[in-house]
Amino acid sequence: MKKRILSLLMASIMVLGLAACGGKEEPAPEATPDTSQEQGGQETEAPAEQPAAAEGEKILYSNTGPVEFFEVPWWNLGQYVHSKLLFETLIGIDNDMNPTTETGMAESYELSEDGLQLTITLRDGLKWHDGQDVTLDDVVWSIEQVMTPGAGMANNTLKQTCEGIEGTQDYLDGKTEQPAGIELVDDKTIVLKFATVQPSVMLAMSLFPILPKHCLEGVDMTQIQQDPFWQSPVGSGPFKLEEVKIGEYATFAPFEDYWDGVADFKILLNASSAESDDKLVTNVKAGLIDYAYTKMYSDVQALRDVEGVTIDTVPVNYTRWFMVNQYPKAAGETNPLSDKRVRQAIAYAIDKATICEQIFEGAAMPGTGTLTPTGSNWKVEGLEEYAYNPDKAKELLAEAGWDSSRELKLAYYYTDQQTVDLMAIVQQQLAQVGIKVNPYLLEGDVPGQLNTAPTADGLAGVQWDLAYGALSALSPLDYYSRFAEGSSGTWHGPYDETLGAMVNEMLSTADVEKQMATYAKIEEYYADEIPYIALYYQPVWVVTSEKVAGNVSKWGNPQFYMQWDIQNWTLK
Amino acid sequence: MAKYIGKRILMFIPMALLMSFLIFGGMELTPGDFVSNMISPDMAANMTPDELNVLREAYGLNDPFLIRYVKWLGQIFQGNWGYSLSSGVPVKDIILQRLPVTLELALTGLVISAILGSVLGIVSALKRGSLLDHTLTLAGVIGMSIPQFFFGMVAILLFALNWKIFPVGGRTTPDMVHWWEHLRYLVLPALVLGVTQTASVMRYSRASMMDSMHKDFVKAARSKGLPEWRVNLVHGFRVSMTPVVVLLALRLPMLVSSSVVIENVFQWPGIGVTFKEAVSAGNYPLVMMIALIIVIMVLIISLVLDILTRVLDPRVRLE
Repeated sequence: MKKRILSLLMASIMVLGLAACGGKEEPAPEATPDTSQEQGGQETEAPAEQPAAAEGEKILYSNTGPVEFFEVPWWNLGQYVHSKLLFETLIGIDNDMNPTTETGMAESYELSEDGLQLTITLRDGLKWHDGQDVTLDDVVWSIEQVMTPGAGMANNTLKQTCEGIEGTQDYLDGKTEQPAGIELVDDKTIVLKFATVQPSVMLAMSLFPILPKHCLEGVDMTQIQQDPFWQSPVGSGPFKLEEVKIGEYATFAPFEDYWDGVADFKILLNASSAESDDKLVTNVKAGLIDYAYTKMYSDVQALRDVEGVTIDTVPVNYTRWFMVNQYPKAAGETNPLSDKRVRQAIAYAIDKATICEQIFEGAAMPGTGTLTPTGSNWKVEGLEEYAYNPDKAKELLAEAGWDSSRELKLAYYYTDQQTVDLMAIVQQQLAQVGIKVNPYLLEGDVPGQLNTAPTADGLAGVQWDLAYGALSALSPLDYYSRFAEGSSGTWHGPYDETLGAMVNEMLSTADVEKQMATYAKIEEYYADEIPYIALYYQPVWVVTSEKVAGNVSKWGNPQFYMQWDIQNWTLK
Repeated sequence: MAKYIGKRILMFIPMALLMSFLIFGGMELTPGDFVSNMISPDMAANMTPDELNVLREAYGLNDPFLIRYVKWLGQIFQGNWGYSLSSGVPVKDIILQRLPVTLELALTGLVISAILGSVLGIVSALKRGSLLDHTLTLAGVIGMSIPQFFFGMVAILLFALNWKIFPVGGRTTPDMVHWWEHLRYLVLPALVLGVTQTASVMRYSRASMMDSMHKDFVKAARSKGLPEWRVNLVHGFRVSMTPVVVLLALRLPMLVSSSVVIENVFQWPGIGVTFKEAVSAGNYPLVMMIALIIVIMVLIISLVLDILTRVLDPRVRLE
């Protein structure tokens, strides 16, 4: 009997121990485009040896091979290398996130002056990897799937744009077989008519990978990721899947029918997650990666002196910030964070420049009064930057009648050491001006804890006062679209009618000049109100071995589809 | 003995049921669910609660705990192990693919630790009090104190990155033709796993050997004038191995579960890493089956152990 009890006990300990090992992974931050590129390469010399390839065969090694499945590319629009290899977007996109016909399925496109009609003509001879023709049926089917309710695997901007097509509701209600706003002119040309202006329509269609209807027709969109197709997908991109061992590697062969050139090398992807590949440094040093990107500056520090490895910095729309909860947590209370002077004081009290210097060695840029990264051509210069000024912070707190015995709950959800260090620094700096904060790690239902709408009687839906997180925007417009009425940006503070009206104005036109003019007004207003506080703007880093160094003159945002022209790379 | 084995096998059922309920309950107590783990916080910021709810409904996460448990159990009794929530791949396929990979690593590690540990332990016992004994004891203490991941990282740094003798990790590559070609990928993780387990086996076998060397039957053998090597190896060693075998056998399922660290360090695509990912993702059909298999392994091995103990030590009686 004792042995049985012992056995049971051991089994329990083992299972629990193993379960404990399955701690939270760092949430993968959302992908981000950039609008202005500048690359600062740090180059050294020759890399480590690579596994033997067949004689005469050239292989490019990379990461983000499938751990469990190939991800549906409608969610993270090109975040994974395999998404970019396998699938092609409807309209092409260049390395500044502008639409182009140099890549993509569209031979031509035209957006009407009022922004309500988009005409797209497909190229001739487009093929799927299984030999079937790419047709407008595939395009229409893809649009219809993305607009399906509960399509959890579709990017929000993409989904909203597709939902903006005329007749969507009638189609979803089953009244029509196809949204009325989708018109097929001939077998190559499609016209999309929108009910209202979709401010990100060109970006959305340029990042929209078309999937093969003949392989996926009938699939339940809420569970599309679980379809067997994603164990061995068929696409129309420059490389086709050759062999896959899920959780180990995937190899890709050049697609001989690709319209824009055929590569003379294969690609092997090691299985790993996209942005938090904890084996990146080891695998680069071992010569198992020729191309990858990272958001971890610690990777850059570990790799910058490795021979033959080049690291390029790519600025992107990625802002680390403090979300601020302005709602009271109990009836009759007023949340002091609803006073902009307190928020401004917090911004002044944090030495963002020193943090960027110490943690990122200057590779990240300190946050200013607005959310748009420094260097973006959308950013309005000359506004309040909230440079470190503890005296000013104290002054503002005194004016606001700040109660220094109050403790703010500071939530965060990244588990890396960099974040832990940052929380400690912020805690110390805020304490110096009389603001006590208690940093704590969010676990479990992180999305729910971060984003819960306030109660009907105006009490906070979240428990924290400040939350450290990431804001990644598909386009500059995205930075402020969350402040439109009813969006999740209003869940942490009362709807700001002035800000909301300006955002609505900006989103109601497809004219970029008009958008930029309103954007400038928004930034000016925002810099004074700072509903959320920008801490720093972070780039991403592209890591390449000498095998590909020099082939690419300018990187696009590697987290998205870009004009990387990989099939025409020349490997050493 | 057949009756005894039959009774023990029957006992497996309530034990496995109890364990499955405890594991399912444990998963339930963990904050978050599959949907909240599947969607990154940044992404969820753009999704409404209704959209999240549609996904939860689709994955059957809105049912109460007991209903979900009973549904899961019902499927198991029908021979349906379910599907991975994240990939949609049948759980059976995942386990059949990943478990042998881990067993390969765990068994190799076990053999290494068994041979090294028992040989060094016996040598240490026979040379009790000598410099060699003290050195091995010290090495054993150090070996037990160093975490596996550290050993693994040092091994990668030395043998893979610096000296380039073995690969940094992985198990197979596309250009492999013969099965044995992947053995070079096995060496480093198995050695690290084996060596880190050696210390405890060594200390156990040393204590056991010293104990058996003082038994009457050893003295009797020696008084018969048998050569010392025969006294040590045939009489002392055989009996001293009984508790060591118990330790080793019970260690196998533990190696399967604890291999998660080694698998992670060496990018070994086994069941440990799969389990870790499933727990992180709230992928309960996969977690439940892997856990259940480990439980069953422990139960089976404890039964086999009883039988082995009887074979090794005729004084033992099974009841």
